[in-house]
Amino acid sequence: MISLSNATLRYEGAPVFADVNFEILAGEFVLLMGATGSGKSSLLRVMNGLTPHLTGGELTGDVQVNNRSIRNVRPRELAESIGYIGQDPLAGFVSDRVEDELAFTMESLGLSAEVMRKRVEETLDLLGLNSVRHRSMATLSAGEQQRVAIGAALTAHPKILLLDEPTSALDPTAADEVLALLQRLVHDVGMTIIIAEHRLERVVQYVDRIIHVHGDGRVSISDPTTALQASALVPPLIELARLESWEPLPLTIRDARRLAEALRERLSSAPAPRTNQDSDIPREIFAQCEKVSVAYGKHQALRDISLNFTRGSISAVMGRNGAGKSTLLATFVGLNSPEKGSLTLGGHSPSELSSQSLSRLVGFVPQEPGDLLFCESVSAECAANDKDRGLIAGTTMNVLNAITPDVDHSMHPRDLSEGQRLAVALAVVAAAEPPLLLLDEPTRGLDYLAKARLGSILRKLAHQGRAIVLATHDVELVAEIADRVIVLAEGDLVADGSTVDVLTSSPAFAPQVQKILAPSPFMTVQDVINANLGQN
Amino acid sequence: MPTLAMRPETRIHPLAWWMWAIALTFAASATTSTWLLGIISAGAIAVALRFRSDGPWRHSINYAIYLAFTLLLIRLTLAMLFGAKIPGHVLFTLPSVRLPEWLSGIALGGEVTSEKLLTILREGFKLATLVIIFGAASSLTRPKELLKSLPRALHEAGVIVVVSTTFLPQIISSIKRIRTAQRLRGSRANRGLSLTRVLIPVIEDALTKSLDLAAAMESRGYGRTHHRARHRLSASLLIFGLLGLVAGIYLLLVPNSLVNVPWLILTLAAAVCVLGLWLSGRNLRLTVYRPINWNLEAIALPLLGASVAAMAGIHFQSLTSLAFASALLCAPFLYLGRQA
Repeated sequence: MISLSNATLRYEGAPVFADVNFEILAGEFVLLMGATGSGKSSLLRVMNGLTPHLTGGELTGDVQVNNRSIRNVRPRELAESIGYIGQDPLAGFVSDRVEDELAFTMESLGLSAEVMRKRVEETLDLLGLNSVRHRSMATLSAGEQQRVAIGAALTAHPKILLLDEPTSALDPTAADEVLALLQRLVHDVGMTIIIAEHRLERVVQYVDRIIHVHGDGRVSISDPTTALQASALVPPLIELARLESWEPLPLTIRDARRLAEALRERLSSAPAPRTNQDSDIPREIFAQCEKVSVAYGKHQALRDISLNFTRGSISAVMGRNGAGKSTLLATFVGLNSPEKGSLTLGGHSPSELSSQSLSRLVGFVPQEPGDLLFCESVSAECAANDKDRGLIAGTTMNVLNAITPDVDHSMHPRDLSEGQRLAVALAVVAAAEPPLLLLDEPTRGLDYLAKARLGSILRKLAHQGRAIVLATHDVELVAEIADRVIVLAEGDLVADGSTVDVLTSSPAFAPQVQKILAPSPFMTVQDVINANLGQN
Repeated sequence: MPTLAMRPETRIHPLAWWMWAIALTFAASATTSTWLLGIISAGAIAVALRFRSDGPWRHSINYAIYLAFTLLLIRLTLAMLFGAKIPGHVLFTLPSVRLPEWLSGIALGGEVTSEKLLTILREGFKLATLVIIFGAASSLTRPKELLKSLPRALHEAGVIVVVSTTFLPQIISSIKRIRTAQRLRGSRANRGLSLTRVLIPVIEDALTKSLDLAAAMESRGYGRTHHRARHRLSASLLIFGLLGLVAGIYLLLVPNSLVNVPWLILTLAAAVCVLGLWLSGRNLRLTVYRPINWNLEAIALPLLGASVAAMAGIHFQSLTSLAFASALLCAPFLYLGRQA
């Protein structure tokens, strides 16, 4: 279906990938993995010619789709043989209603009205979207939006689908739905699917082969076991398998559970794993809310929420897309004034404070860390922050160096990798030493290494006596660092407890290690390592 | 109502609604009768509330009503402060400024008579009615559907308009998002500085988003089947046609020129335009999903509007002799034909 021969892509200077040769066969489900900024998206886009036709860059060698070279045809001429779904489905929508969006591709292809109607109905059924067919895009949930984006590509009846991080914005359940749909397309419809994804734990069990973009220009393709054996980026499942030297490498929870018989046996006598809680810090309540309700017009975003956040703790706020997580964070930074209930930060009500003094009490890192940054270079950003907040010159830079020393200070924030940009935004916010630090979906677009780095940064900040709150879908990160989990559903607080209690009690939220080792309360590979140490 | 409004096959063609609205506009501008204007706006509001579409534009009628009232109020206030004097029963007197001799036509402040207020109200009512008719038409139709019914050649321009209508709210929400993020950063810099602080991330965000959109549209086949040479031909036909139209209108308005055949030029130019549109339409192999058809209701609507306009026109002619009646201090009255 797709074949690359000696394909080399370079924008300027060093090539993104060089001398790539592989062929993808009909009906394959292929995963494209690699570190953030390694060129995954570029490789994906080369497969339907968006790169270099739309993005520029110099491509040598050849890429063929169904025996047509992309050098000679524009991506739009390939629309009925290959579909592409970008990272942000909302940014790719052209119309305001689901049905029209599904038809748009066919209108451009000039299909007859009868064919269009038939295909739209089929696609609505295939993706389970019939109940929302007349709705406008903005009112759909993130999972539904992603499915509409897939459907919009499907109506052209392509043989191949390319997807760029289709689950990165989705909660675990919605992500499973989308992946199950892709699985069905491969098995029942005979599609060829190539998917770029960071959250390997969600996809490795489905795929036939893995393309590994190494980031230094090399690209290799192999079966999942071989690829994961050689990779530094692996999901917790593989990490555990490596630790226990399980053979053959299990790719699914089911396989791992069979192999884990002995480990479960051994751990049943081990002491319960330590919690993420930092014991040397006095548990002083810094922020609390009492029966807080927030409404946007008729929509009740939060209902009677009572919570407190203590210094030195890391709390994770979880729940479906639209459950009220971001609203909760926004309420604590004083963006929403609660219609009922009271809220205090270190004894003050946020609505009474000026934005200056509020920013000394609470720091907020938005979902797009770039929203905070506006300067030409990292060092200018740090200097501007010192000036803004009346800090001694150099403070922000010191915080940044303590967080991560490997950021090039002369770079433009836009040109940094996702992880580095997040670090700069975090430094800008943390420099004023606010006792409460809120992060909205910090792990979107981060690979495992960047995530581990973020985890240790947050632990360090918590250890300094901050109260840290993250809104996230990433159960693995939560299992690693949080000591408390709060679950919201439709604006109600449905669970609030220690990470172990909340995560082990629900199949949707359980981390991989926990799924393998249940009923023992072990949640991370580190827990198992510690238990092994204790037993030896 | 929603189920009926949603099925394109049973929906009324948006052009029909607009033609109906234009006819009502004619009717409203042909009359000065407060009664007739009231009936027209009440009718427009009732129809809009009953049959409005289900998009975000459905609320246009509400905004139009607010706007109409605001316009009336503004007119009243301005008229009380400035404007010509109309003698009559004095309601109250505002402090006035004596203006120099050469401005004697204008008064600043001074006596406010009930006749003056009434005249202003009656004039303002016409404007308010026009605003309401416009609001009704836009809540009855979806801009997207109107664009769908344009000639095929204008389809691409139509898509651009639709995309920008969906893109704009996204930009607005990103402005909001970035402003709050910046505020939480504790920016205490002056206003000018904070503008660039918001603008730079907003522009970056918009650029990224539009590149994403371009990639999505390109990979979905947008802009396909362009025939270069024919494209150039149709474009030049359109340009010459439009130039011809401009020339024709100029001749029509300034008749004593050398070549005095405005209608001939207009007809020719229009024909060239149509030819250009047709050619460039043939160039695109586009189809429309679930097009809205001209059904019986759609044909009846403009006719209904036209009959209202005709009646208002007849009524207006019967009234020309009483043109100044509106300044009289009495309840508005409805003339029914010449015998009144």
